[in-house]
Amino acid sequence: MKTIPVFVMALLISACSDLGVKPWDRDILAREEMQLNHDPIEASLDDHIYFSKEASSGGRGFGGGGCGCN
Amino acid sequence: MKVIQNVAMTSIIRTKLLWVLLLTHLPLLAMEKTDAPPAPPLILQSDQGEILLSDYRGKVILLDFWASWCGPCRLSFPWMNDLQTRYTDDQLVIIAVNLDKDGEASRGFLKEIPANFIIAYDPEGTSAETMKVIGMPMSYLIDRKGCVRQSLIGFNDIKKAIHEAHIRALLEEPLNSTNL
Amino acid sequence: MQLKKHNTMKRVKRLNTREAKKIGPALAAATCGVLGIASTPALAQGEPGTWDFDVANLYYAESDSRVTAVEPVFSATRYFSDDRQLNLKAVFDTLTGASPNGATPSDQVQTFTRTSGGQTYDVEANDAPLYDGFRDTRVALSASWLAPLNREWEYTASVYGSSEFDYTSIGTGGTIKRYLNNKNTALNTGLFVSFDTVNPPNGTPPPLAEMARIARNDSDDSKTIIDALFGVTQVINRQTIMQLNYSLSQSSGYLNDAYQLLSVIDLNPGLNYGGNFQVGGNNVYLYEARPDSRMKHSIYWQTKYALENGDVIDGSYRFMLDDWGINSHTFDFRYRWDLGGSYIEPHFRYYMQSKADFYQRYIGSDEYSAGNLTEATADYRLGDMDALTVGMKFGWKLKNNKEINTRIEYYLQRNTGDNGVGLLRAQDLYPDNRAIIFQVGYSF
Repeated sequence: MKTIPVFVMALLISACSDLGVKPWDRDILAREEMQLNHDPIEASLDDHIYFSKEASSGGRGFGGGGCGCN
Repeated sequence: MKVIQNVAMTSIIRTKLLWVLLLTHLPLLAMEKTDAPPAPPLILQSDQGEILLSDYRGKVILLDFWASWCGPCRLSFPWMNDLQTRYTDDQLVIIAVNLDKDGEASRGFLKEIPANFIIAYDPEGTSAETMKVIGMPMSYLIDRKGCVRQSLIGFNDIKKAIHEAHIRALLEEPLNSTNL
Repeated sequence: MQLKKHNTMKRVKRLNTREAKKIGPALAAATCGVLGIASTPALAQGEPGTWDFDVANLYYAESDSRVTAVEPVFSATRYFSDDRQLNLKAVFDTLTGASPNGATPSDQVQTFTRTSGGQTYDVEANDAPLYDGFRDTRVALSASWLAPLNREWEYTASVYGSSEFDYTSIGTGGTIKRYLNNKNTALNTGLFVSFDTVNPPNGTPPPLAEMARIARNDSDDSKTIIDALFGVTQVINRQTIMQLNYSLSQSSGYLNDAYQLLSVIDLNPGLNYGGNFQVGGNNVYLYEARPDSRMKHSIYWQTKYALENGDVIDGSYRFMLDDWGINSHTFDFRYRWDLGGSYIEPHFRYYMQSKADFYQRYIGSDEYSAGNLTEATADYRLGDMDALTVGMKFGWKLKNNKEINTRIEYYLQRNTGDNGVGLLRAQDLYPDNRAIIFQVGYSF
């Protein structure tokens, strides 16, 4: 079961080699609001709320640490 | 008779010596060729009109590629200003090619951080493509003979020191040297 | 020649940090590539020797006298030379109010003990049984270090610790990132290990033990959590970037909620059909029992797309599957409406989960008498549910890359399940959980 996602990732990685932009075309991507996790404080506060009220957690990243709330 | 013989001997010896010199420097020749290709004949648009890299033959050129949105570029400008001031007499020319698509962004940047070196504009990025720029900022050192000797990707304290050491080395190379 | 040599001996003038404007988060270095991990420091590279600070306060309040939380956060990032940075964060969490204890409401007054063999509290007839022992303050501290090894490799290392009156957690972990294709692709892998200790007042109750019969005990229990992450980040084109992560989380040890109960409901025909099952004139409630291990798998996909006008769309989907039988889907969508010096960002999130295999709203008296039950929980957080968050965030960019922002959101959670029999059908077994989320933040 675990090998399937790794295999899919490997396929994706090889497909990814054709995508992308030249280094000087990264103007838009350099903007703060285009960063994948541009507001880590809000993300971790939300993660804490949803971890306390629902059964799922994480996905985006991890290392938030535990609490007695779930 | 003896004089003529001596002259003949000296010229034979000189020829032999020249051959020896050439042969021993052949490997160096080969190295130089792969390490230092001639700079492409770039034509750049600057505020002062069209400029060619060959206009500065005989001087050491620091050719830098930058954009207003690039964080390390902001850090590199004061350093380049400083370099230009200190080494103008030693014939260092800095040409910083701006790759912003938006002209306003670059002018805004220059208002905040004025430059005392040449700024060129290439919104299409053709010169960056020709120079095979692989990161931002990226700079190239071109020696007095017009060959690209070093490239540097990114900018931070360590890179700054390395690059300056290379610049000093190139500035110390005279234009007409017996070393190739 | 001599003069030149002398000049070169002169020290390079030290860059005056005030001359070069502080970069802050506004300009992300292209040479740094892309980062997408919640716990690591924010992407942007500030100038070496400078600090970036972020302070925020979250206010979370549920309706119907349920939980209220106030959570201030302080985060500081220090930039070092050569693109290295250190982030320090402190979070304080004060919780008040009450939370469902898992029992079903009844047409009679119900009495519960606070903790194993502790004081009692009453719940009125027809009221949702809520346990109000959550006057709690939690402190969490974390530190995270990020550094490149060279142009292609980057790593982070972090430590975490938190403490509240009945729970402590410590953890450590790291990530390694490899850039490819001229930094258009990044492969990320990480591992985080955490060790938590649960020590409620009067100890942890044995699984499925009867509430009335539990005496004080000194047990405390622990759990170990190992999280692993494998991710790919890919620049699609000049306006689009995506991330795909696969994560695993293995928890083992004491996974119960020490305060959660299940009501035993009388299934014998008669006047009390559907009412609380009684033994010796007292209602029977059992403490919950969950398995002692849990393995979760998640796939998370996020896309950010910039429009011509400067607006940004951010959408993500997460699928979670675990060995408790729960699977969930999370859809998250944000639209940043760029107004130049400020922005408005509507936010929408939809979540749904299916219940755990051992979830049941109550235990039937037949099941209780048979005594075969090994695992059961009535914790609504492990039941069938869906939830909607709708909100709006406002931000104002100030001089020198400072920003003030605020967001207000409404969270509505609906739980569903078996509606019970007899007397129980008259009760609302699955009240909606409604909450307001309000946050104010300042970066400087």
